[in-house]
Amino acid sequence: MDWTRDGMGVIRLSQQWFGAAIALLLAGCTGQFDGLAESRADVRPPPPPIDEVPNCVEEMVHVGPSPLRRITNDQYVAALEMLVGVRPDVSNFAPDTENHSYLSNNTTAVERAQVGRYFDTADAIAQEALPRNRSAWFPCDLNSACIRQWVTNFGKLAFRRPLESEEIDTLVSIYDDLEPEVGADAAAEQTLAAILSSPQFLYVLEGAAESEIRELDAYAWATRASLFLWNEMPDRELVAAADAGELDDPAGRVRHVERMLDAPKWVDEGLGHFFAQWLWLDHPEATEKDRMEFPDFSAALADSMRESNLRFAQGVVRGGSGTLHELLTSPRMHVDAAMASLLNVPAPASGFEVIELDDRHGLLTQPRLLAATSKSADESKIIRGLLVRRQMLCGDVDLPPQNIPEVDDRLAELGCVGCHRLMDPIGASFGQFDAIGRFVSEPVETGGRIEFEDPNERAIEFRDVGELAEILSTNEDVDACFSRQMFRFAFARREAAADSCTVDQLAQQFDAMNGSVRELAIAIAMSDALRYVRGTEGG
Amino acid sequence: MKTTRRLLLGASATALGLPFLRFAPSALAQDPPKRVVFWYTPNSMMDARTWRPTPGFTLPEFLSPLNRYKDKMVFIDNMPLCGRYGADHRRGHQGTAMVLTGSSINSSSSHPNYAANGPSLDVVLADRLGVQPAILGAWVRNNNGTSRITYSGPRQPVSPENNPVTAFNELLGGVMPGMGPMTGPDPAAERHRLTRGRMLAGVRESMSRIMNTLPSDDRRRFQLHLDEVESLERALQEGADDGTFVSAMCDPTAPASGIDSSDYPRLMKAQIDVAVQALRCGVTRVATLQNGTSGGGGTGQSHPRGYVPGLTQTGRYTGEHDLVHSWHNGNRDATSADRFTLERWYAEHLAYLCEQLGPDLDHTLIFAFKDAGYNHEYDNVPFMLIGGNAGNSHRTGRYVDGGGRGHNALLAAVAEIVGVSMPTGFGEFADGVMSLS
Repeated sequence: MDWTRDGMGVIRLSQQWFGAAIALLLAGCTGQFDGLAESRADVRPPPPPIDEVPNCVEEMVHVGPSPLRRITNDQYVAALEMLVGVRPDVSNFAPDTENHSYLSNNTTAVERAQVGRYFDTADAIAQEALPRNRSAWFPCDLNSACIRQWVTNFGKLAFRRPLESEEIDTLVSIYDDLEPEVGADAAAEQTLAAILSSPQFLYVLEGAAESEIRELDAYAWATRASLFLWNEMPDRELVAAADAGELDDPAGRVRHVERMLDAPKWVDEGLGHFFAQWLWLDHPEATEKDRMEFPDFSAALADSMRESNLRFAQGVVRGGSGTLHELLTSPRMHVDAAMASLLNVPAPASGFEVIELDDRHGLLTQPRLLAATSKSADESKIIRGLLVRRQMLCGDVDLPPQNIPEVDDRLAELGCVGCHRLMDPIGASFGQFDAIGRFVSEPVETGGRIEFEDPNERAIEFRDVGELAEILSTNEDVDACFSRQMFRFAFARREAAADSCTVDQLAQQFDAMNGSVRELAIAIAMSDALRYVRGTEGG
Repeated sequence: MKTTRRLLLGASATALGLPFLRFAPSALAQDPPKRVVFWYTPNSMMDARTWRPTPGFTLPEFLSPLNRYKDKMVFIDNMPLCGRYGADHRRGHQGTAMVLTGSSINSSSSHPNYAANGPSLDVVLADRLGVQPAILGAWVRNNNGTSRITYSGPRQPVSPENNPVTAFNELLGGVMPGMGPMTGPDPAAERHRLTRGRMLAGVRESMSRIMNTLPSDDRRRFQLHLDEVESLERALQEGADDGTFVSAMCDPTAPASGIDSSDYPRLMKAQIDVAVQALRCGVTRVATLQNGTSGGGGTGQSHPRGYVPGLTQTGRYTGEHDLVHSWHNGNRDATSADRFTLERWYAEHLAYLCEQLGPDLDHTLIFAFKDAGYNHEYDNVPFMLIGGNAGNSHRTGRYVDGGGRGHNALLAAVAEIVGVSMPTGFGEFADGVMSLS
């Protein structure tokens, strides 16, 4: 994307892109750039149904519905560290639920037992955090007025927006009621615990009524942007920017998006979570291996494999070209002592070192990914093929209509070919990598092909996984799919037909920017999809 | 709206004992109420001919660890999961979601995949009995319908607690060894009741305000969160049910900490111990023990073979699921020994549960089941009842042919044995109550 920076460091659209955006606007799609369409929110006939591809000719905002999401366990931990400087133990928390591979907590209600755990954890954290922060939080004598001031300030960071007076009253009354019984400090602790157990903290509340499309205010925008880019809640600076009105215009928003992208947290946290979820790195298969087949496999090795995989992906964005092409083709490997022993290469003196290996071709040949897409003792061409099909080609493959014993040999007679031809011939090319990601030099068949959903279309043949990586890295469907995957991560939901204007445009922009991951992140952060919310439909 | 302090103190002044548990004198009643354990083991069974007891009620060899309990057992089969619905919706391990719910499944690809469209019997029974169920798991992986047997409502799977130490602390952390009514108010518990109660009230107030602003679909999920906050408040104010039975054998012992999260056999045993103590100490009357997860590959694989002693590990063995299918697939010579070893290994653990229950077994019904019968079929899922037959609530030591009736009638029979009447049956495909007398 041709963002240009002026002398002040402010990013502007280049003339060339400006023209393109105008053209797009005339062509009618929603456009991504607020300055060009500041008034569209007011032009709001009832939105078309969510399952209908919108007519991008109308000057309208088209976004799919956002189901209410609860913050993930990782986001909860990061928030408490930021807010009170204490890292909670969430090992007994219910697992986060996925929405099309991405952790979202927006498809089911919170589990009952988890509700109690939120309260217990908040209580324990409050007892630890209050003495530690007492002087900073309460510069006044600890009393009702002082608590009110603190609730107003601290609550804004915890709830990610200024509190309404009713909300302040509710919280302060907890203190007022308890203080005579248990003393000021214990009463303040419970007030803090209540904030940390409140729905305004635990849920991303965006305020859209049923089926309504509305523009997010600066605070809600900041929350979405920060969850997307940092996988955590807005920091003090971003909340202050919302206070100061800096997020009310596109230039201000871009400036803060850039700031977030420049911070290490984007690559470390935001992208780290994206890569791990996109590539199924945390599927249980990654860590549970057959003890007899792999006696040297251990939890520590699994951790090294995960870190190595993420360092590879993060390294491409941080120190390399930052493109999807490099992610899919680079022979580099980040190796520590455990990885060196797995790969049978010399161990580095300490920490991780970058090496290049002829038999590795980008993300698809990272050991952690290969282990995550295997079974406990054997590699799986089905799961590996499925990963490519679903996560890189955005193909829909339903779970099998089972009763299928030995899948390998009887596909044809059992009538499974319709789906398996879309996966297995791709996964077969990974045959040289075993269930813990080692390169096995035994001669095995490595050829494969990508078939199309239309069986009449001619398949793309390739000789080995290196060629597969090359094909994927130069295919525009893969680019388009990558931009969709990042969309799904950003919004914790799959795109609806109503999102197709945005989704198509993101794909075009990603392509025009030569597959730059960073530019894609900017485009998503500046998109209508991030700036507008649509309430879910009744059901 | 404010909750007044007077109200809070009023409520707390009446209560004694620990926050979530109260030992009342009536707890020492002579005739303890029935309790129930739901026992799940993964993947499908051998075919019915192999496991069905022979005339004279002789158990097959691989179930021989249960021989000493066979007079307390009932074997039941020929009861299709959810009746006709199950027969029409045979899909791999989706029976996992049907088996305790008696409900249809959410079979679209939307998440959570294949979750049940109704609550499960363990949750419903606990609700009717006024207790919280203990939902425990050993090596339960994944987070979708084919890996969850317990549901709190439509498409609301409940994750079992996989860590025995956490389970013990949550269930039994406040229980003192020995039993009997406590002699006076506990100041720490009083204070907890007061402060936690006030905090819960504040959070409830915020939630109620927000509720009205949400679209209906979000509101449905949010409401369940609010329901739980309210139920925590109630539990705090009221303490446990006065009728709670505390066995004289209640003497909670915490499980060893630091069990490796993949040490399946130790986890199974530790969870059995926690469940038995929770029942014995009266903190609940309903326990679910989910052992492992059905299916293979992307939908969950079972434990690595290193844990089951005696497996010969023939063939391309990647876990229980593959072994089970290899056997189904006609590969019997190569895998028969392993297949029986595996099932026998589970029977040994079930026998361990019976043994730990000891004299309490007569008052504790164990309902043992899998998610599928032979090779993913839902027509002939083997069900076993063990114990719980005090007062001759049902006739034991026999095999019962269910005659093709949907298994919902059996679920309702389980409820009746435990003392919860369900005259019209249980679940979406309710079909009355099966007679087991």
